[in-house]
Amino acid sequence: MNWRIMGIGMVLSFALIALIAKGYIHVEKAQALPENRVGREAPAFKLPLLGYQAEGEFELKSVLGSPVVINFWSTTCIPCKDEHADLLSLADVYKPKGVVFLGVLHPTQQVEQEPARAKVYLKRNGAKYPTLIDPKKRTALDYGVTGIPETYVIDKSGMIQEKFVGSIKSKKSELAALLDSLL
Amino acid sequence: MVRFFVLFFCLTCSSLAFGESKSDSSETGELSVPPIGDPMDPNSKAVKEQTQAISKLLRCFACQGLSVADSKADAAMAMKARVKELLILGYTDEQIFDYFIDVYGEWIMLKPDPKHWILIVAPISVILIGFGVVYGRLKSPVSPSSESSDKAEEEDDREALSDEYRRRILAELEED
Repeated sequence: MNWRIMGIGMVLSFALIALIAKGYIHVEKAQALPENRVGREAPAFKLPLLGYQAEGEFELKSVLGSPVVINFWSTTCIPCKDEHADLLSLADVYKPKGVVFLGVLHPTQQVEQEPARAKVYLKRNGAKYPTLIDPKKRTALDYGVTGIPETYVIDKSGMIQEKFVGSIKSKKSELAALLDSLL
Repeated sequence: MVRFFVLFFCLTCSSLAFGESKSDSSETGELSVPPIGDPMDPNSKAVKEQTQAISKLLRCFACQGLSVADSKADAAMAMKARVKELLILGYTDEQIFDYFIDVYGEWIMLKPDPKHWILIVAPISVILIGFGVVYGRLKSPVSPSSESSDKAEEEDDREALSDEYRRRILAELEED
């Protein structure tokens, strides 16, 4: 029995098994999948405004020609609360430069109560850009949202440039650099 | 009288223009491609059954290994509602699957495309063949030729050792 060959065979087999297992684990996590929407045209939408600062509807088409930041969030999501102050400070810097910031409510629980809760939350924590309601979650599906928070950056030509999964707290400088490059 | 006709003409034109303007796709839920099937009645049994059949083949991204049809998660309900909406608009099963694949990738399909099965079958086959070869080598009787070569190797080792011992003994005797 040649133990060296057998040993090499065993190591290679285990490496292969580990590789396959890693592949399966990776596939199970939707948020870890390669983003299909980045580099493509941002899906159009026309959604009702939350009604906190403004009433009516908002259409993406109306702001095309400016860079747009769309943040999908909800009041029951802790990372969303974690990133709120950072989004406000980015809006402070980039809104005067022409970047449009939008929030889209994407509740995963107690959906009916979410708009009322969001109004209270924004009153308490500040709001510097409009928040929209996605009642059928069609917009979230069109954008490929798999969880919250998720932040999409659209360039002046209406193409999705980047998608940030999770809180942007740790990626704030990355988002700022991207916005600088889009101006 | 002329003013009346001008006003009437303007009103007629504007009503025609508004009547002909197609509603925005972002409002109706239409995709960037037009539907190629027949629109379905929203309250029909057929639309319910078709929604269920399509949902069974789609993976719920918020659940672990469940289909959209089997999950009560909010994301699954939204996907199911979208499937129903697209069926009512006249989109075919293929168009609906293409829409979800376009957004979420092939991963969204619970049953992978047969053309990708080779990617799953090939590595598992290689491992099984590898284990088969190792098992075969372990089970197979040692051949006489390899046995004799092993014995020769053993003999050589013993001779080398005895030479070494002899040299050391002679060296120690000389020292005494």
